[in-house]
Amino acid sequence: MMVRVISSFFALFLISFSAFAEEDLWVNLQKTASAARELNYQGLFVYQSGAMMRSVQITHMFEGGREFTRNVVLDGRPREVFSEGDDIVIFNAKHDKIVIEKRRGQNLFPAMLPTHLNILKQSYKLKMVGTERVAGRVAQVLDLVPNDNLRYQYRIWSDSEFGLLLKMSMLDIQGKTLEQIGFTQVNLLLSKDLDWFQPNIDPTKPYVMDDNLELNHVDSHLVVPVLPPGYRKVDQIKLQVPGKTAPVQQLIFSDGLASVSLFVEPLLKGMQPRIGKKSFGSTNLCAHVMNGYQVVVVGEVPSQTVEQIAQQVSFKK
Amino acid sequence: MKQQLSALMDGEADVERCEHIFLAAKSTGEVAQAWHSYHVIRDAMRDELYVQSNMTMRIMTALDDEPTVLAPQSPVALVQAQSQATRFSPMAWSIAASVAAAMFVGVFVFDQSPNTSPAQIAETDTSQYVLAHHNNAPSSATYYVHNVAFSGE
Repeated sequence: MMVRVISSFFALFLISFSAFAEEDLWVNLQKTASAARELNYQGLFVYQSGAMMRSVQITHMFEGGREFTRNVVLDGRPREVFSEGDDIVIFNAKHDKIVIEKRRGQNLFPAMLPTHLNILKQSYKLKMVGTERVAGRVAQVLDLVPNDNLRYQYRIWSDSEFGLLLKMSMLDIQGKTLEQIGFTQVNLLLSKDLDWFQPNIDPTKPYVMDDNLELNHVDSHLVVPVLPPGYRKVDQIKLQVPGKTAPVQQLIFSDGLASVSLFVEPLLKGMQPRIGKKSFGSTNLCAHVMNGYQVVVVGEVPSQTVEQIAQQVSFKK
Repeated sequence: MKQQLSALMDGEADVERCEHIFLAAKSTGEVAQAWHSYHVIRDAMRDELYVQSNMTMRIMTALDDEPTVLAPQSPVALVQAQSQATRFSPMAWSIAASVAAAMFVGVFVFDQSPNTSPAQIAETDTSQYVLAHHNNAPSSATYYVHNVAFSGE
């Protein structure tokens, strides 16, 4: 009897201990989510997906409650990405001119985790992996393990002292790395000077605004009644696509880390309906025809997620 | 000249005291274009500079109205023409398609529908969606991948 009481007490203790431990890890991860936004730093990071690799130089500053970031892509075509809060401006060298594109707030490295982690708790469990050295810093390694097969696993390396996200990778169900992004060198900045927050200007080239992407945030009759667990709609956009007469609706879903786009357009006379599945790297795509609409779902998620969303599209009358 | 314009744009020079720059700008289309470019950049970077951009428009209009011997090409019209070209150009989508196509590993599923006859989705169809997804979804990688998509240009 006594043994049973002790053992059950011990079991209870173990359960609460592990729950407590995971809660601790979430606190650490929250620190990581905030550190990327609140610290001032400068460094070099590398993004790798399949055979593709890009080096990027980053400067980030949190000043007067505002976030300023400058990303200079060092490989391939000259490209600079600036963000100030949620506003993103991209300077893109194309042919003989520099095209300036404006974008909306996105989760740019190292600020890849959502500000509020509660949304992730619905879909992922947090596990301690250990400590490793990344970019000359000691990092705590954590795994975000999905609760189902509708999203990939993410591994996170955070600076054990400052909490800054040093590296992140996406793994498939077999544990194979699909893509990774991480610092090769990083330093905290002491200066409060914002003089770096400007593009390298090439005076020989004209600068033009890209108004190719006329983003209209809309609400339409289009609905997806049942989303895969953990996913919610984060945006809905009407796109004017070159060569298409009717606008294409884009709905964006996210579970806090993984994102999926749903494209819907009416099948007009002369349009070839498309069906099928495709995948490359971590990206999966599913095309489907429904009620005279072409439906295409794309995302950095497993194929079953895009298929499930494609099958679930329905239209309000 | 360009340095002077640059200094002016950076707020180092006083607009009121730079009449000679505007006068010079009138005679060379190239400088007028640089002048305009600097404003496009500034407008993109800082929204609060709209007052200054209005000033640009006034200056540009003045430059347009002023008869000049060399008759520089109006940079405003030039930019409009360029943006018009980008807006309707299928280039971005089709070129991205051809490059991304090489990266795709096709997995086809046959799903014949009786009333329509849908075709398997081809690489050229899919990449435009992948690109639009990367442009608008909250994923970070797109900014670095993009170069690959446009490298065929």
